[in-house]
Amino acid sequence: MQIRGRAKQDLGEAIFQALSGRAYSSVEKASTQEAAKAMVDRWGSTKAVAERLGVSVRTVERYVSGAIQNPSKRNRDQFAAAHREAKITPGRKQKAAESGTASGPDRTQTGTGGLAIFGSVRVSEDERDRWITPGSHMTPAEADGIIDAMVQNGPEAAAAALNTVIQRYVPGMHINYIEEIDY
Amino acid sequence: MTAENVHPLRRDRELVPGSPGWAYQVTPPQVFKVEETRPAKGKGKDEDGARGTALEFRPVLTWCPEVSKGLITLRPNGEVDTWYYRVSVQGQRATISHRELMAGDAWRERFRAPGLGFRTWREVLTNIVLDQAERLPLTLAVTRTGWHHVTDQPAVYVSADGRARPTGDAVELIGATAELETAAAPVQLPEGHSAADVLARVATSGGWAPLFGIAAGARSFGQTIRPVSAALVVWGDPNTGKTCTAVAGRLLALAPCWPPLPTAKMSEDTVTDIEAKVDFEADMPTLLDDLALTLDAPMLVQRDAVAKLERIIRAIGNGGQMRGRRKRDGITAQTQRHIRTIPVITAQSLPPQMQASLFRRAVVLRLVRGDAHWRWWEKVHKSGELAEVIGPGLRAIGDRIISRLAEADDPGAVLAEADTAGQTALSTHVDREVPGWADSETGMVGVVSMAGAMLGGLALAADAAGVERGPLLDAVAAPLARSLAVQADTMEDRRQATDDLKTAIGDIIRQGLVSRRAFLTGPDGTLGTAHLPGGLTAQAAGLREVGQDPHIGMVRFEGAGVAMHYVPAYGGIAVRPSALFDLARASGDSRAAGYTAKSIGSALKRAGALVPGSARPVKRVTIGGSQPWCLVIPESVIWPDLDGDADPGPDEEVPHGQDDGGPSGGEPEPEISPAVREPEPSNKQTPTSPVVQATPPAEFVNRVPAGETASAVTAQGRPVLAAGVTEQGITWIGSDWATQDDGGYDSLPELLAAIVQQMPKGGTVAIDASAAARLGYPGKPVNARPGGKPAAKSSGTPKARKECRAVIEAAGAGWQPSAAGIGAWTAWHGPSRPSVVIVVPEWIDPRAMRVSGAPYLRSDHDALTAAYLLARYREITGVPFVMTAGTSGTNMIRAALGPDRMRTGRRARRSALLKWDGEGTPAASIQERACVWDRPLAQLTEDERSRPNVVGFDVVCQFLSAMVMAVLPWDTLTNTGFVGFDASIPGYWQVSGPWQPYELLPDLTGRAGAPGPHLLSTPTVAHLLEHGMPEEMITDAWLPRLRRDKEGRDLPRGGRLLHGSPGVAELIRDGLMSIDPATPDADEAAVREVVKATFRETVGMLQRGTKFVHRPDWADAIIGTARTTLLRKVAKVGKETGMWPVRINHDCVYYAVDTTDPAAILPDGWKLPGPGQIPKLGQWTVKPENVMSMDCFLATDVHGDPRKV
Repeated sequence: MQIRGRAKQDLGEAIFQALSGRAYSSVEKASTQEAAKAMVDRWGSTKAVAERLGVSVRTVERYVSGAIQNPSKRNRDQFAAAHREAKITPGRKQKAAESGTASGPDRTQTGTGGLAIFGSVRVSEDERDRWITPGSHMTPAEADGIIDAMVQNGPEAAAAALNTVIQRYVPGMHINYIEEIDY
Repeated sequence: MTAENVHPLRRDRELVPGSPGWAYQVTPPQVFKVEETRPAKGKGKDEDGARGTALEFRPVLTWCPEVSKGLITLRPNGEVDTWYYRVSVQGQRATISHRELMAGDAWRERFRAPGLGFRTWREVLTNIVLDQAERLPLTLAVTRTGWHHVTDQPAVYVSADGRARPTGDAVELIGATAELETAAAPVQLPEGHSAADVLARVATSGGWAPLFGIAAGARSFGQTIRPVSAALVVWGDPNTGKTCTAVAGRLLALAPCWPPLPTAKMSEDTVTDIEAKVDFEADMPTLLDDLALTLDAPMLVQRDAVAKLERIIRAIGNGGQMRGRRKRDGITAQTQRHIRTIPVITAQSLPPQMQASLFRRAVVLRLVRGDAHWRWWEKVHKSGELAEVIGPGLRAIGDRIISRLAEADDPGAVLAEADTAGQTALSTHVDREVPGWADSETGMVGVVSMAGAMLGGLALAADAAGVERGPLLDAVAAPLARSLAVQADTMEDRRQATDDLKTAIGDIIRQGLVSRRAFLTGPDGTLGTAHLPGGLTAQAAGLREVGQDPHIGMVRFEGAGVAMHYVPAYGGIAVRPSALFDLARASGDSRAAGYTAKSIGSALKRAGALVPGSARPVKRVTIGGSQPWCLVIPESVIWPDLDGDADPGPDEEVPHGQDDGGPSGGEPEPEISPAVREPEPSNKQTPTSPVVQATPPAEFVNRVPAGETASAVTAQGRPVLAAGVTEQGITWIGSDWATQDDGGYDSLPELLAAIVQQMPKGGTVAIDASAAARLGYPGKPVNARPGGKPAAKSSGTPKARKECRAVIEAAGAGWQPSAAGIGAWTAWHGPSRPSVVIVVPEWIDPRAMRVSGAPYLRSDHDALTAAYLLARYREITGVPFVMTAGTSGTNMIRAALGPDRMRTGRRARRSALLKWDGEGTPAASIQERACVWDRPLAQLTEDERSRPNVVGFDVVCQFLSAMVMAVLPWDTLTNTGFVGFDASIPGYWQVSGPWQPYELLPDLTGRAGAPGPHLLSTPTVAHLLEHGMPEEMITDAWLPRLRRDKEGRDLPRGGRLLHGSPGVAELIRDGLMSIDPATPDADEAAVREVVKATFRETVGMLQRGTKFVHRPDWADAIIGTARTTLLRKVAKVGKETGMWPVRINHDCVYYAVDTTDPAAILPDGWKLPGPGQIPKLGQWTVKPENVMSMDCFLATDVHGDPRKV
C-alpha cells in the first residue's frame, strides 16, 4: 500500500499505516472514549472488549460513555494494545502475516514477492530511492512477530523487529524514509 | 571361618580374581569380604615373638551365583564370536551372554537377589562367574537352528529343541523360546500309520496350496546347503487358507497348534525383531504371519509394510545380510542377521508401493477359495488327528529329509536333483500359462526357477515318505503355474505403474486434460470437437462449452493451461517440451520426476513414447500459422483404449522398459539464447528500410570524431552497439559514429528484422513512446508487475488478454515478447534469432517496475540519449545493457564463461557451471556478509577519545578488486568432509566457533562473535588460519569434486574465473578508469555510475540468480575475499603501528585522528590517488561524508542512528 501524504521517516509508523490504513497519530490523538468506541466497533460488543481488556463490562461502558477519562495505570498498557489491535484491519493483518516468504535466509525464496518496501535506502555510500524485498528473507513467524510487536508494544517495537530482518537482508542497510509498503 | 573352607583360594589374598579382598563359596552359597586382622598384643605371636596377621572372612551375601556351563560360539572363520554362561542364582536360572555379564545387565535385568543394587558387589559377582566358568569345560553353542560344522566331522543339524543330528554332539542352542523348544521336541508316529499315508491324505484332502507349503518347508531344510533365493508370499482374501498353507510346511519341524506358532508377526513385530527371529530359525520352515494390510490402509502403515517386505525379500533374493549395522565406534560390524530359510509370508493384500523388483525375488501365491481346504485342516485339528497322526507323520517326513541330507556324501547334489525335478514338472505347465516366459525380460525366468526349486521340496518329501514323486508334483505344478501367470501380470502392471515413463506420460496428459490443466486443439490451433481423435469427448480433451457463436450458431469452447495440438499428419499429439514438462511437474507424478524441460524429450524418445522417425525428439510442427518445435506423442500412448484395446501387447512397435529411469542431459531443445548466439538467416526477415544518408541529430554531432562528416558514417562493416528509434527514423550508434535511417517503421517485425541485420548478436534499442505507438505498441505498459502477486481470478469466464497490434504482427513473423508482456523493457525472442530488447524510456518508472537496481536510463531520457547511453555501456562491457546493472553484469559473466564464450586460453575447453542454486550445500543460504562493525565505546582508549576527528578511509571499488582476486569453483560443491585445508580450493568450511585474535577488531569469522559452528568460504578460513586459528577448528568441508581431463590429469577445482585478459572484472575496471569521476558530462557520469553499479549489483544477482546465471557460492567467495582483504590490511596496520579502527562500514575503515588531512594520517603502505588521478584498484580515498568530529562519532552508530545508551 502507498503511504499517503508525506513519506514516513519512522519505520514503525509506516508499518502501522500499512496494517491499518491510518496514520499512527490517529491512535495517539484518540481519546479514551474514541478508542473504546473503536474497540466496540471492531469486536462487536462491550462484552467482547471487556474480555480482551480483562475488565468488567461496566468499566467498558464507562469508557464508552466517557465517564472514565483515562484507563487506570494497571490497565493502560492493555488498553493501548487493544486499541492498536482494533485499528489494524483483519484483512491487512492476514496479508501481512503471509508476507514472509522465506523459511529463514534461504536464497531459493528470494524474488518471490512478500513484504517489499519502496523508499530512500542507504547501503554504505549507495543512497537512492529503490525497492527492497525483506519479505524474501522473512519467515511467516517473523512476520507474525512484527505484527505482534506492533500490537503489544507499539510502532517502535515493530520497527525493531523488522530491522532485524532488514539487517539480515543487507547488513548496514538504513531506511531514510518510506513511500510504499507492499505485501 | 578360615581360608581353608573357602573355594577357591588362590594367588595369595586375591581370593576372587580381579576382586582383591573378596571370596566366595558355592556350597553353601556365600560371598565374603576378606579382612586382615592382627591378634591382640601378646596373642598370636610366632616363635620369634613377632605378631602375625590373619584373614577374617566376613559374610556379605548369603547367596552366590553358580555357573553350570560355559558356552562358546564361533564365527564362520573359526574365531571366537562370544561366550555364554548358564548361571543359577537362588534358583533362578538364565543363560547370559558375555556382554550382558560384563556390562552388568545380567545382574540388573536377569536376576533378583538381595545386594544386587550395589555396584561394587555386582562387579565382584561378575568376577565370581568368570572364575567359575574358567574351571568348566567349554561347550560349543550356536545361535540359530540348522546346519553347523561343530568339528571337522560332517555337518550336524541342530533342531529348535537343541538336538544335534545325526551325531548327538554336545551342542547348545542359545536363544530358543520355550514355546519353540517344546514344539520342536521329538514325537512318534503311532503304530498303524505311515508317513506315506499321511502325505497321501494331505495331498488328497488338504488342497494344493498347503501341499506347496509342505514343499517349500521341505526345501527349507537344505537352504544353507543350496539356497533358494526367493521368498514365498501367500496372499488373498480372508478364509482362503493363507496361514493354513504356511503352517502345513511348518508341521515338518514343529508340533501342530492353533493359533500357530509363527516365526514372527509381520504386523506386530518391528523390523529389527523380525530380523532376529528369522535369523534364528535357519534351515527350517518358517511362518511370517499376518501382514494385515488393506488397500485403504494409511500411508504410514503401507510404508511400514513395504519396509518389512523389502528387508526380508530383498535379503533372501540378494543373499546378503538383512541390514549392515556398525557399532558406535563406526568401525566394528554388529552381529549380522541373515535369512537362511525360505521365508513364508502371509498377507491379506500387498502394498501398492511394493516394487516390481521385489516380485522378481518372490514366488507370490494369490490364493482363492479352494486352493487350501482349510475346513479339512480345521476338522482334523479339532478331532485331534492333526496332533496325533498328521503332525507326527509330517514330522517323520521332515526328520527323514534331515537325516538324508546329513548322511548324504553330497547333500547339495541331492537338493540339486530335487530342484531339477521340481523345475521340470513346473516348466511344462508354465509354458502353457505364461507363454514366452523363458524369453521374457520381466524377471519371470528367475521366479519360475525359484518356484520350481520350492516345488522340488515336494520331491524330497515324496522320497522321505516313500511315495512316487510324479503325481504329487503334478498335483501342485498346474495350479502353481496359473498362480505364476497372475504374478507375471502383476509384475508387468507394477513395472508400468512405477517405472514406465511411457505409461506415466500418458496418464499425466490424460489427467491434465480431464482436470483442465491442459486442452487439445485441432491441427490449426482452433478449439472444437470436430478435430478431436475419434471417440474423444470435449471434456476428455480439456474443453468446456462457453456458449454459442452468435453468427454461425456453433458451440464455442475454451481451454485452460497447456495447449496440446492434435496433428494426425504428424502421427499424434504435439506439445512443446517445456509445456509438457510443466504439466508433468504440476501432476506431481514421481514417475516423470527427475527430468528437465530439455531432457524430457530425450527420455520420452528412449521410452518409446514419441512418434519415431527423426533423430531428435522434437519436430517442427505447423500449427495454424506458426511452426513451433514440438514433441509428438502417439494417440495410443495417451488413450490406449481408444481403439478398443487397452493392451498394446507384445507387438508394440517400441518395447517397454527401455528408459533408464534417470534424467539425462539429453539433446537440447532448440533454445533461444539472447544476445550472444550467432544469427541464422531468417526466412521471415523483410528488407530493411533503405539507408538514407542524413545529418545525425544534434546530440550526436558532438559524438562523431572531429574531421569525419556525419554523412560519411555508415553502419556497413562496423559494429552497431545500440540504436534509437524515433518517429522520424532509426539512429544506429557505434563506438565512435552514428548514422540515421529516415522514414521510421510502421511494423514491429520489420524493425526487428532491421535491428537483427545491424546487430547480428542482438542488443538493446531505445524507442520513443510515439514511435512505439506507430509500431502498434499499447499506449502504456501492460506487463505484469515484477514481483507482484497474480491478480485474483474472476469468477466468470476468463477474459483473454487482447493483444496489441505489435504483438500480433510480431507473432506472425515468429517473434514473441517477454512472458510478462509489453513494458518499459521488453525482450523479443524468435526461433533461431538473437533476442532484441526494446526499451521505451518514457515508460521507465523504477517504483512501478519494482526495480531495486540503480537506475541508468530514466524517463526523462529521449530515445537518442538513451541509445547513446546504451551504446556506451556496450562499448565498455561488451554486452548490451538490460534493465539493471546487475542483470547486465551477469550477462557479462555469461558471455565470458558460458557455452558461447570466446574460447581462448584455459577457457577454450572448459565451461564454468553458471546456474546452480547450491541446493543441499551451505551455498543454499547466505554465508558471507560485509563487515559492519562499531568498536564498543567502552573499548575506546582515552587517547582515541581525545582525538578531535574520526576519518574514514574508503577502499576503491572493493568488490571489483575482490572479483579480480576471488577463486571461484568451476563446478558444484559437495560435502567432502575435512581432510586438510587448501586455500586454493574454493568452497565452504565448517569452523567450530568465533575467532577474534585482536581485541580491537571484530570477530574475523564475520559473525560478530556468535557461537559456532559457522560455514565460511575459503578466503575467510584462510584468513583465520593466518591469524592463528588452529586447523582443528575446521570440522567439515563442501568443495568441488576433483575432475580429470581426457589424459587423466587433474583439472583445477577453482580459478580466478572473473579475471582474464580481459576478464569480466578487468573490463569493468578499464571502463571505470576511462571515465574521470569528476567529469562534468552528465551522461558520462551516468555511464561511470552504472559501470560501478555493475560489479556491485552483480554480486547480489549471483546470490539471487537470473534465468541464466545463479552462483550463490561465487557471491560468498567474492564477499569473503573483499572482507578478508580489508581486515588483513587493517590488522597489519594495527599490529605495526598500534592504530586500530574505531568503526568499519563495508569498505570504509574509520580511525580516530588529530587532523582531517588524509595524507598526514594515512597508514603506512596505504595509497591515496594522486592529485587529478583517477582512483585505482587497491588505493584508498577519503570522502567528505566519511570525515566527522569525535562528538559526532560518539553520538551516532555505524548506521548513522543515535547510539543506544
